[in-house]
Amino acid sequence: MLFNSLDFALFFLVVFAAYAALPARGQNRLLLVASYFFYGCWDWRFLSLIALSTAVDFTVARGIDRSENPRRRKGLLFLSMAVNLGVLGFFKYFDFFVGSAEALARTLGFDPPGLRLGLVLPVGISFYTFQSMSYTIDVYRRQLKPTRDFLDYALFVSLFTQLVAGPIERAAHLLGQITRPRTITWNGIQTGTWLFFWGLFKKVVIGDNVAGWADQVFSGSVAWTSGSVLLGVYAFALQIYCDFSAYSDMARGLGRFLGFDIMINFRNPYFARDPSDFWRRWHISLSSWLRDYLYIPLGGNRRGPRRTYLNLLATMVLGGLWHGAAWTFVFWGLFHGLLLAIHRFVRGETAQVDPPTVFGSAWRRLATFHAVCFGWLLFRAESLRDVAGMLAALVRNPGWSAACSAWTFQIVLLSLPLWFVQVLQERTGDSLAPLRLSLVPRTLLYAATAGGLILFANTGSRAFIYFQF
Amino acid sequence: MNPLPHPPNPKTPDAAERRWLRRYGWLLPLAGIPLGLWIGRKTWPAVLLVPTLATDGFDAKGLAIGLAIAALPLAWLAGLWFERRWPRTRRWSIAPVLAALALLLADVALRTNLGQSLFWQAVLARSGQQHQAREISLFRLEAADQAATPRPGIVLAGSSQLVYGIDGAQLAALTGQPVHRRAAAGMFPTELVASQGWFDFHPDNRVVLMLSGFDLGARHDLFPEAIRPLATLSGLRNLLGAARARFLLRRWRALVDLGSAAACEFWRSRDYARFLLEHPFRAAETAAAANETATAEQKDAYARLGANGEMVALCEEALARFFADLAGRCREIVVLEGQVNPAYPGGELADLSREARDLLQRLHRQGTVRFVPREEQVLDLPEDLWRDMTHVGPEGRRRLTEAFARALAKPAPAISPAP
Repeated sequence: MLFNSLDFALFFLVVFAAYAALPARGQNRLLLVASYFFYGCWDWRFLSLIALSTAVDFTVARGIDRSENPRRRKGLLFLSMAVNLGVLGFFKYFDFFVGSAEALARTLGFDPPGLRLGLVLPVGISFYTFQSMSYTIDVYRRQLKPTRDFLDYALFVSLFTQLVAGPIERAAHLLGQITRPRTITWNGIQTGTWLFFWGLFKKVVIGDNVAGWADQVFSGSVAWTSGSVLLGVYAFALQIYCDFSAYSDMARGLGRFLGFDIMINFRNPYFARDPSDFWRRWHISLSSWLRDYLYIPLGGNRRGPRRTYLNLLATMVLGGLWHGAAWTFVFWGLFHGLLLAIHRFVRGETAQVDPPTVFGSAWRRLATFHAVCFGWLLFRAESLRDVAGMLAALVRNPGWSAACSAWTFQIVLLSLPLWFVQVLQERTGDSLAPLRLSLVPRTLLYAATAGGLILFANTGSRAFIYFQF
Repeated sequence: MNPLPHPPNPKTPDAAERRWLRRYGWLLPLAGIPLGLWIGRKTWPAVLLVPTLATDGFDAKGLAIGLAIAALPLAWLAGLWFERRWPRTRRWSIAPVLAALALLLADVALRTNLGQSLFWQAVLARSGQQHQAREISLFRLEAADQAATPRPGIVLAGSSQLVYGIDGAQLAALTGQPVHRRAAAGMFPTELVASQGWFDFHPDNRVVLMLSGFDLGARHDLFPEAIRPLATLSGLRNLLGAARARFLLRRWRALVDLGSAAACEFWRSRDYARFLLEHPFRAAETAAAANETATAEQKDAYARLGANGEMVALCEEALARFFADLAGRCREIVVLEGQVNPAYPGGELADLSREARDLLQRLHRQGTVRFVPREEQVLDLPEDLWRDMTHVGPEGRRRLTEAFARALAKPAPAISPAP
């Protein structure tokens, strides 16, 4: 059940009506049932995986909390990690690693037996696994007291608003909101409506439409020239941002309706001034997760520059692998790790103090954006051979077709409201700045958003990109 | 004196707006009128894809656009003033209401003759090899013209069999009456009934259709994307009224879609708005793959003819309602029994043809329509006059048009009751 479907609209209306009528305790039970139903609509068999992860982490966290024996605590944490990463690794990476090993064996002249299982990846497994694991780790680190209510914990893991594509919430932030009574407010409905429809606009008007060109270029169905490749990469940069941030906005909007404050996952990432800034703005819940549970435990920047660079590379490679089981994701992660390491090397250990000039700032933003776009080329390409082919076309095959002009027109026109809102958010530092505009610009923005949804929404029900992760 | 004092927090959107207005607000009145006049001059060349088209240097519409742009800072300031004086708790709902009103006005503007002309001429100019875009734009342009100045005549309604089978100019010459085309490819009974609102623009119209068993069984389900561009409220009422509750419940998404299309011109035209967006500067080209897909879909349709009995029953009931409703809104409805290539493989077609004939004969007896069965059409269309299984070639087109003219010239034939 996609957020951008009539089925979901009906589902949410029913859930919201019942939710408004129930007392706090009943609200949580209702949301739990609704969340399992929501997830079961994709494939009910995989509900068992969520239930397993929930049961293991709930029990383990309570065991860790009760025990004062460091070995026992560590053993329990290891059990939680083993179950969560075991399930994730099996469903997501088994075929990848076996396939890679088979390919290597064939290269070396062996004839390995086919061991790949052709597993179906459970939707959102990477998100809820990481969310559930963070809870156990926080309890282990004594940063969090475990909950005694299993059903509340089950709701924390499975809350349908952000179950399948994040943000990856932390228990300290969301679980507290689950255990406390919540109220439905006009302010929540107002901001929730804006966030939901703005997310919908980004997804179905911008993301799904510009995907048309990105798909054509990356599948090779249009000739690769410098113009077509460049536009294809720009289109994909816009598509993935609009697609993924749309889901986060919609999740936040739905949360507001229900009285939750879901964390912000994106802060205008294409306005970033350097790679480090980019990762403070892009998929914030994952980058902060990787920082807190991987980079810092590896030593962070406390063990000298060389180790810091290695930690950055390892963290980003694993971050890339989190996105999917393919070498392109590994190289994408490695590329971003290198970017971060180079940036750190160039910048030195201390952040720049002088505020940049207008042109300096624009130049840095432009350079960062293009470096990120190069990363998207690695991320989206079907294979490394395609990456090489597209890069070669970019340099050696100049050309600009009529189709490029038409798509440029479409991309620019559809994304105009996006840039307006982003500039406003960036200048004010307020993600809800559009709601604080005065009457005339707000009316124009609402009309443009609604008009765009009516006229140009792609109703092909294209799933969110990050569902596959 | 500056009317916009500095607000205390320069980072709020309110402050950003005031700063913007103070710095750049004067540009809008200065550039607005020349910009409006330029838009007015360039609109038709852009719509018709003829950059060299000579247009007037000055026009009232361009001036109106220019004045609207010029007045924007004043409206903006009024909004800021209003925001300060209206209680915060109430004012949040004003902008959504105004936005809805603006969209409503835009929808009404698109329904006007000018709005329709601009939109559908733009689609027509870009239709190129996209036959459906060309047919729908011609349909809608004629409909807009008729809505502005209704003139009675022969209204040809039906599917591609009619589009490619009848020469409108030849029929007009033979009958001496104006011919209005309301036909498009894929306009089978579900689409035909849903588009009813486009046929009843004048009480003296003679609505002429060609129906056969093929039409009755051509759709194996409801296809909102085929119905949407021509959906009307009156037509949808007859189509959905004919369906059973369970059928409708299973297709509730389609109902939401079609209901929106019938009520809102923006939604009804959205496929072609997207078409314009995809072809802003030049006419569409059809890839060879698209033609192959179309041929494969046609073959699939032949194979699935009449596969869904529920749809056949829905079409029959919907047609009965449609004719009964339309009969009171026009002078006469003439239905010629259609035919397909004699080489068409039998299968379901014989049963469907019988059902279609039974239905039309019943309606004829009731006085709702004038049915002209095949044997009365004096029409010989051997295999070599067909370009495929359902569409005639040029000679077939000439003969079919003549048969239509003869049928329209004749008084209503008496049909004996079916045994």
